[in-house]
Amino acid sequence: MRAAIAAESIGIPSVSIVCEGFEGQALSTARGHGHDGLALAVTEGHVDAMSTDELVVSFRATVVDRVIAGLTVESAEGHDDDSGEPAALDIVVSGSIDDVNRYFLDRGWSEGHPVLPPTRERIEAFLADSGHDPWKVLGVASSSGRDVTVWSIAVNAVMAGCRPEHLPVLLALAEVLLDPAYGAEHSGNTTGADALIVLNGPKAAALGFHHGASVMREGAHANTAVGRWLRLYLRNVFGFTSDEHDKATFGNPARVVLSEDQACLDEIGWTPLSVDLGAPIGADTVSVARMNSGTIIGSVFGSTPEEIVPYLGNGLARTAAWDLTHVYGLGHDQFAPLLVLSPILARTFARAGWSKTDVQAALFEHARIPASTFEALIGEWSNLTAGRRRLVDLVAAGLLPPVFAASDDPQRLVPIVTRPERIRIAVAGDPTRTNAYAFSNDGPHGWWTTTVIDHTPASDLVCSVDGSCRIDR
Amino acid sequence: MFSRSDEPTYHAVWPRSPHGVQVRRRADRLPSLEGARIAFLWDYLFRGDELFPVLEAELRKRFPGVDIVGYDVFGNLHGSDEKARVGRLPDDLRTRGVDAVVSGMGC
Repeated sequence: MRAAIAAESIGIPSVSIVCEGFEGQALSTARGHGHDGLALAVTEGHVDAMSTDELVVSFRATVVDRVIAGLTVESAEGHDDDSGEPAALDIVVSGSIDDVNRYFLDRGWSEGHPVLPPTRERIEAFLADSGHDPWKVLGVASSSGRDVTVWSIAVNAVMAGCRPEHLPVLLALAEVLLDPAYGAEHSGNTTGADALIVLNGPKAAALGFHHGASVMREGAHANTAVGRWLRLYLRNVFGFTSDEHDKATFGNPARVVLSEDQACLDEIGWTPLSVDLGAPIGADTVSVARMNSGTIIGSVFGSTPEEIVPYLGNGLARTAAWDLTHVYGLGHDQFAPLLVLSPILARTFARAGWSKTDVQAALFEHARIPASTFEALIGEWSNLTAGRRRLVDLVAAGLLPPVFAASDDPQRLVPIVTRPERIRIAVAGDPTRTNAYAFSNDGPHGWWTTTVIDHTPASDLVCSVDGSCRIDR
Repeated sequence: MFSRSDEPTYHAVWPRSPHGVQVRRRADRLPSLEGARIAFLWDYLFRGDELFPVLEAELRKRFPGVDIVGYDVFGNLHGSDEKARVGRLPDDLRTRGVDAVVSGMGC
């Protein structure tokens, strides 16, 4: 749709071929870019599930006419304007907690967990000491075309149960969502990745972020509430609901924030993930990437790096599948999986004098799969890399490094990333257990993006002489 | 769930946000595809390599004077450099004198 939108923006008529079931998302995407009623030519069923003969017959019988009509028949439909939508300070429902929750759930404004009613009093209290102008527009959501405002961030924060001191974290997350490099517009893609927030910095503990046992499970308030806020914000402001932009076949539940074990990192002299991603040392940061699948690497046995690396590499390799199309295909050099090590495992490496770079280099050698499997995953089995090119051809074309074509033996083992530093490492979890966790990432569709959290109070909010800072429009 | 009669009343505000983009009407349609230059734009997914040739053949059959600019001219519009390529599209389409586009495959 974005290509069609680019054409329409300069007055060139377009028609977009979409599979059955995608009409709603296609039109919502166009609406988010300010284009209403763009023409669609809808296929019957999904193209990947048809034989070639079935597909061609169906396409000729239905889609061709729809393409022609889309380019030549004027539409009678008018604008979908916003005149029916509330204003920011309008009361949309008054009632008990049950009434509010029922109202919000019926409209898709909550994800099913009870919300705290976002009353004006609660939101004003949430923002009161921050100094932020609630009406400041930080940007426009790339998917829905809706304004990202401090006010809307606060409304959803109240709903999620965040505390006022979490606001700087939420503002940083909003900055990530607005960063074109992140690609928030892909947050409803069909394979259904979901964002993982990794939090670093000296203020993490003071804000209540937990990094120990059960770190990826609900339970610690800050981790849970902020993780929930992201999902609510994607729903309410970015439009990722099933009747707008969310086309996930399955999806994942909202992920709680993963806070790294900074004390362990300091002890062993390893940099936090944020620094590996380019943030300054010692900064409070959020790093976000959309993750597809995850695998527990359970009960890692061994007292030396050499003993534990093979199993960890195997875990990374097992997590990598269709998403290898982000090595080349849908992405390019953008498969960058995350390995979360429990502190014991990180200390096992450090005790032997291994730096993070050493671990990445070793994992690069061990996280390998047969070339034929790699090619099948991104070609024959998923059809996600056009042309079904072999790895040797991609190397010959200069699109992949030589390590992918050490020979043309289809059973040769090839890495799952282009270089060692593409394997991200974080340290968190129960400090007394020898488990690890591997995540596969969704390449450019939620690319690793790090931003510094600014905890300094703002001075945007204009207050009156008597000291009151009433929020009015 | 049930409400007690002494439970407070909450006045909740809207959790969404207004649209910051202005809506515009879509471009005028062509009176006919005869003699039109049509660009195919592809995200290199979902069998576009099989279907765009079928579409081209059918369009040529029905509109012998139609001119098709193939998707390979514009490249993969959903790859790692999607934003850059889509950003260049308006200039590319203008430069090539394109009259209409068929974009695929949204699946």
